[in-house]
Amino acid sequence: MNNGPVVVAFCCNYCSYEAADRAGSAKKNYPENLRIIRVPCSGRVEPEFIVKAFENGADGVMILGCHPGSCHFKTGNHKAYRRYLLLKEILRAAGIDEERVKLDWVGASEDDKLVRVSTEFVEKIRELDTGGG
Amino acid sequence: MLEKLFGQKKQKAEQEQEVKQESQKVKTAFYWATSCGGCEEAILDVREKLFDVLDKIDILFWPVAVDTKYSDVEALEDKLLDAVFINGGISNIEQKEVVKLLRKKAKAVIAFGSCAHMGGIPGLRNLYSIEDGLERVYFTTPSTYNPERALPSEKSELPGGGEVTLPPLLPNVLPLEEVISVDFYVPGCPPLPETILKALEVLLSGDIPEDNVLGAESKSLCNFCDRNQSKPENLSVERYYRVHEKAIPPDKCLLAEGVICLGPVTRGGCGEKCINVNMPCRGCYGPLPDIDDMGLRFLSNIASITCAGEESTDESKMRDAIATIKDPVGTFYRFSYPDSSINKLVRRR
Amino acid sequence: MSYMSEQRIGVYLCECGGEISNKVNLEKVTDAIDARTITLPMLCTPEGLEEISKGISEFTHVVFAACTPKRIEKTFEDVVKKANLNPYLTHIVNLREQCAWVSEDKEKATDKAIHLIKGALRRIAYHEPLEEKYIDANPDVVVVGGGVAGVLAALTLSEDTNRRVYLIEKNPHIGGKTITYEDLTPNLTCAPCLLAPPLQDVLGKPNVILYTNAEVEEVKGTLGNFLLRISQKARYVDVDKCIGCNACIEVCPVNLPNDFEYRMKERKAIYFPYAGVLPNAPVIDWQNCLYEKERCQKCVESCVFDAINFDDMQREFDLKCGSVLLSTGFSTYPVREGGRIYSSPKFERLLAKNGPTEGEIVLPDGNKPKSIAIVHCAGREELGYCSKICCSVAMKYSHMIHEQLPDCEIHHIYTDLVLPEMHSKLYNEVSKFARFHRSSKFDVREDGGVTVEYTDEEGNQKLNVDMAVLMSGIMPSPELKKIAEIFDLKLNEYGFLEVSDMKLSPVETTSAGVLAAGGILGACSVEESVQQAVAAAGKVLSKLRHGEKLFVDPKVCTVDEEKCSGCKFCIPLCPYGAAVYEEEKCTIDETLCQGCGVCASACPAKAIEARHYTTEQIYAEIEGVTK
Repeated sequence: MNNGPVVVAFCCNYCSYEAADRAGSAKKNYPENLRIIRVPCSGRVEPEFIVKAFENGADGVMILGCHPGSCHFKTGNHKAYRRYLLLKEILRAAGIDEERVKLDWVGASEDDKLVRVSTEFVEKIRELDTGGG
Repeated sequence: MLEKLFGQKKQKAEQEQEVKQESQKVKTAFYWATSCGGCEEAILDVREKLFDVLDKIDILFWPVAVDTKYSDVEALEDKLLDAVFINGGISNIEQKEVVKLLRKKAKAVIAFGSCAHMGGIPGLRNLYSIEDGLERVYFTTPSTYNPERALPSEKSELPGGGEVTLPPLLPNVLPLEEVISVDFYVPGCPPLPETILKALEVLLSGDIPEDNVLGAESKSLCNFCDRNQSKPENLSVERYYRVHEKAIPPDKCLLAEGVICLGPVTRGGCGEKCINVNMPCRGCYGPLPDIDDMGLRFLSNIASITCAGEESTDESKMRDAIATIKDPVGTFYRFSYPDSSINKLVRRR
Repeated sequence: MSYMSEQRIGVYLCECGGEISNKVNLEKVTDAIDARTITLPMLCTPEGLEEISKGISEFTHVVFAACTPKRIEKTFEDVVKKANLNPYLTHIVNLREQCAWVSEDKEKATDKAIHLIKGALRRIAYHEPLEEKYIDANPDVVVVGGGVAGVLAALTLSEDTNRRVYLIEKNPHIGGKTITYEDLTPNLTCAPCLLAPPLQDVLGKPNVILYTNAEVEEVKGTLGNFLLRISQKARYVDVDKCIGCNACIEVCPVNLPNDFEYRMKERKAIYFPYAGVLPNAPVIDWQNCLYEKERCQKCVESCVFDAINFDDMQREFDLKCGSVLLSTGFSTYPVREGGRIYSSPKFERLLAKNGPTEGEIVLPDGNKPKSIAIVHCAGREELGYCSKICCSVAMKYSHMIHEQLPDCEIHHIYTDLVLPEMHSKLYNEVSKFARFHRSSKFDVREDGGVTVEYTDEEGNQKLNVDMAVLMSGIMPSPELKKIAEIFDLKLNEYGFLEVSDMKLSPVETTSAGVLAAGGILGACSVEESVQQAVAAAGKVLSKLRHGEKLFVDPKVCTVDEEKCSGCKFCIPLCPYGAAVYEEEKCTIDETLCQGCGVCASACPAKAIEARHYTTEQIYAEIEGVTK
């Protein structure tokens, strides 16, 4: 059964994980390709996790954290953002399409944004896969 | 195996009684693959202590110093060699074949130096295709003058007839362990004499660390670095400098001053040679035992401490600060790119 | 490495009354996963829970595939605990909100469910039992700021005599701004009459310890266990010995303008800022005292109680407490004053019976004004917000002027009037004698008298009056920045303290155990200050109950000493100051750590683990959900 790309999303317990729950309660569909892993904070996400996901066959990885300035743990999301910036540079140099990794800010109430961002991302990955990216 | 080599040290009484016989000597081989030759020098750097050793070993193969041929190795019994020291990463067919041959003939293989251990600096060529690499080396470096665009080829006819061949390049430089199984690692670019002697001592003692890395510490360079005490508790780096861009006081933590130093992720045991001459650690002793990927671990750490002081919510400020890190892949993976999970991922694809 | 060699993992699948099973083929899930599965129509009903508790003891590890853990975590935890299984040996898969309810295609949803459960199964193999700890909490409270909010909070908290309340006040006296007013709007209650009893009360309470002239310098810890570093400036007068007889003041040879009275009056080098100040003991202005220059000791000689001590020194000390309440008040917009132009706080002193004119409204030349302009909204544009209480205060001024000088013309120049409820009653009365001019902008200048230029519907207008009062806007106090920094708190866009939730946690700051009340949070009336103060005290009382211990979440970060290289990078990264460097090793204080895992993610030696979110657990989950 080919269900298309596999996308792992690291969701912060205090924002995007909550937004995903709200999207569920509101029955707002998004692609089944998204596999959410709950983390206490986007700042818990190690760059190794992202590469690990690729090693295991993921086609795309998202990190969804709190908006800048509203991290539950004050600044974990900023750290996640800076790691993401550097990781993208490394991926680019290594020849891995940096677009396969995406960090975005999704607040707890932004179920619509979660649905939009994840749908768009899965679409993007599908394009890269079919386009040989 | 190497007990034979240093066993006498342990038991002097026995030493006196023992009759030296040729067959009792430790049979060794040395080989260099893709390396600069520094590792061979490093063996000579052991100096007078080397004589103690030379007396007790038989060198059956050492292209750089002893006149031996591959056929001599082929002729050996399997597993005859007690210890084979290989330095350099593997980047062409010939090296691949030779190390496989040596593996067959060896009881123990020791990846000697950063290149055999992790791929080393030549491994950074894995960031490019062979074509781009050759293009750069033979045509476009600033010091190259090659108007005829001469390029070495796998086969060349000699003017007087006949032909010479060059072994084809592998698409990637590989750490030794990706070509043959490796028993022990001695890190360093090159390994210090102290490291070499310590590695031999560890081998003799039989108290071999779980990860089989010999002669180096399991704590990071920071643990041994005198400058660690200068590291401020509210450490935050707003921008980074290359070594020539900033004067660093000799007692200050280089990283805290904004110079990228791989000390935090790198094994100690090198005597902090670079740090002592005010140069940052470049990571040649390899990652700490629990690290999966040296560059990613360093990335996570350095990105975290960047602008960590007054955390601004301004994304562009963070981008600007991160942008001052020049050539992150070349810097974070200077010696370890072929060994990185990222390069392995790319190679697998 | 798992902690048990023999793992028996059970998976409970919830149909959720069809909510899950209609979208996810649970039979297929059962077939696909390599573990014992039990499918129940509803895990969370009494029947479901009963069924779980009957069978759970078979397992060493349990996965619940049900709804969101945020809803059900606690319920499962209770069942699991009753069965003597460590709750950290379980894991919840969010099959409803994050799979069934967001999927269209049953086949794909089933595949996703299988992967999510595989992730849980791989992950749970690395779960270890965690020990839940409870720590003693210190019931004592530090209240910072002795204005009306701080004093009322301290009084509420001190009702419980087993609790010590430390009241830290940066001035030599308590009562804040309110005590300096004559009457309070809207009912024109006499402020000193209203406030003197609670102020006396707080001074008399044996379990309230007041430190005047004192400020917080440093804070460590969190809810339950704070350690505060306090610095206290020298007062040179022993508050306990002094009876406030004034003998020292009479003999002091130094005369200075009294800043507290906006220089409308003089004071001595040893002085009370105003009459009736509490604690009832003067303070020495060391810079102007002649003791150091001329060895003047007149006050010492005059004091029969031996209360004056020139050897008094600035000191620093620590206070331990379980909670902190911040009530350091507000400040007012610095308007340009003149001889006849008064800022509202200055005018308050002119109205005060204990003020420089004993409450008489007079011009600097001693004459009574025949006309006064009250100009609203001074600083509103610059501050960017309406301070909401000034209109009512302006009505109070009008009323008090009219009462004292019935013939005095009163003009209000205003843009909008904010006078809800009781305050509009005051306006109705004032509008009988005062004139109101609506204007979008104004200019006030002194030229012998005072000229107020403003623009109303009919164009530019000019008004000549004897006196003008500018209603200064309310703004954050200048020391708030330092306080926010010390307590690591955020300020909102106007520079006031930000609360954790404006609607639901209006007196809780973003740091656990730190509460706030009054003008530190924004412009507010006395009654609002008191409401907040009492609410904050209530929050403290509900958290720090005697004999009860505080739960310490085991899901925190720990350092493996063997692996730590002492590189110290975790220290600046911890937002809670939980990581410390001692004896060449880094350690993490479990009571301070909140478990964000930032340090674990950044540790160059991988010596730090975030419990329950360990690297190997997350690696395993990644493998499960992808493969």
